[in-house]
Amino acid sequence: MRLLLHEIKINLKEKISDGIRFVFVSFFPFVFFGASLIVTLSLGSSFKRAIKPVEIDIYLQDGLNERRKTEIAELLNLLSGVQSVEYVSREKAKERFKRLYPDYGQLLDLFPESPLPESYRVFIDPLFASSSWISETIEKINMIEGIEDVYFPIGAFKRVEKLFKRALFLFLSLTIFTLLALFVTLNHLIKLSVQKDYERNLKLAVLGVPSWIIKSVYASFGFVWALLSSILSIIPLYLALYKMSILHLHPSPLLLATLPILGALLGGINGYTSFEEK
Amino acid sequence: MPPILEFKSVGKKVGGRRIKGLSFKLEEGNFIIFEGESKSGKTVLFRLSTALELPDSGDVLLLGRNTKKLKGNKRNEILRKVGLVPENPLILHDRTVLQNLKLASYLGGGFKREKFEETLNQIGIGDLLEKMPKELSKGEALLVNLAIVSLKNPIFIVLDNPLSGRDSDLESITISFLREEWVKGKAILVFSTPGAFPHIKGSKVMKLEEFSE
Repeated sequence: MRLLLHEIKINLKEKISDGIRFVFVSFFPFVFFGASLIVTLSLGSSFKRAIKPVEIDIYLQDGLNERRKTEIAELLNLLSGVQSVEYVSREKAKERFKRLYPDYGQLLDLFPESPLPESYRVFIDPLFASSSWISETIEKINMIEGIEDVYFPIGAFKRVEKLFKRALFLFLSLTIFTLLALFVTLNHLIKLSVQKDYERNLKLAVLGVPSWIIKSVYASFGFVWALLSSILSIIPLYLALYKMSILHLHPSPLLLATLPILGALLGGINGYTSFEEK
Repeated sequence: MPPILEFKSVGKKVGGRRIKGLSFKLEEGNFIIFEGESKSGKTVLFRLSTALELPDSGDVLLLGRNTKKLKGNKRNEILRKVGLVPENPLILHDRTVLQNLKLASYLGGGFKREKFEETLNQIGIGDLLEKMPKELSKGEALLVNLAIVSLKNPIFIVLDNPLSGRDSDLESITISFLREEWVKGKAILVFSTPGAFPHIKGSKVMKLEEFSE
């Protein structure tokens, strides 16, 4: 064990320059990674601005008594993903209409009583706001007795969602590309390192150092640099996924923490297998 | 107990020549000097003796194991018990002399300060410890190689042309080192050009020409 530690210590010290070279080489994949993040995040924030808060308008039938209205509000509150339910009286609806359409608002004053129906505004947690979920929810709401109509601009929502999913796909592809590029870079660096160290490894073998120790030296190199690289790449990934929580991507920190370890283990295995004694 | 090294009718092509039917045994406490002219195959024999090369015919048994069957870890394990002094000294160039010696100590069963200091005094390389191998002269590199061998505490020591082109001081240190190791019971095998290595009393001299055609 002391022999192994001795060799790893010397090798890692010797390979600091290789490691720095690796960071420089891996800088370019990070540029791609950063560019994809910027594009996706800007699209993501536009998407959030466009749909937040996600709101469904539910119009009630005429002549419902207070008890039924309360029951409907309770039923709406029970639906998964519903953050809050707000009652909108005829008068409030009139005020809102006037506020939204000032040019036509005066028309409503011609009626002795507001012609707009009573309604509920249902606010949805953005985490649940996918078009399929909203369509299902609208179907469920329509089945509740006492509901006249449900309004939500699903077509526009779907278009924005599609655009955002494409951006997400681009982002994920570039992320995978980045990670692959990092892995290939590391692999290449280790291979170069093995070539460079050929004479040294031959001497170590002739001196009687067991092959597994010689291989472990590269495993440690692969492990350390893959760990550092994975940590570097996981920080923007973590931030990006949190920023995009609107698309249900809310990874647990524990899951993300396992990724660098996984990366480091892969790097270690890659390092261990890169040296073959002939 | 099997011989430390045994050549059984070994045949090997060396350039335009051929070593044929070479058989000998190196037992514990033996000192054998193989003499051969330049390009007669001394380095090839050195490599055959240390499992770094395989014979074309016949067998080489190193510590009782046929070198044809030694690979990877097993070969390295066997080589751990052998002290090699090739013509180009066996020193790792990515570390200081001290780190080279420490590695040899670990290979010899662990770092022991007493043994370490005794070796430094015996070979006289105390002032070279912080140097990198590229800063050493050829003679100093040989001495460091001898110290590595001593710290590895091998069962037998094999040297390829150790004294060719070396000065007399170096020669006396090398001979005295080998004598001491021999006295301790270690087997010594030297490949040398005729007259370059003194015929130490008690040693056996073999002529390579007798086995080549």
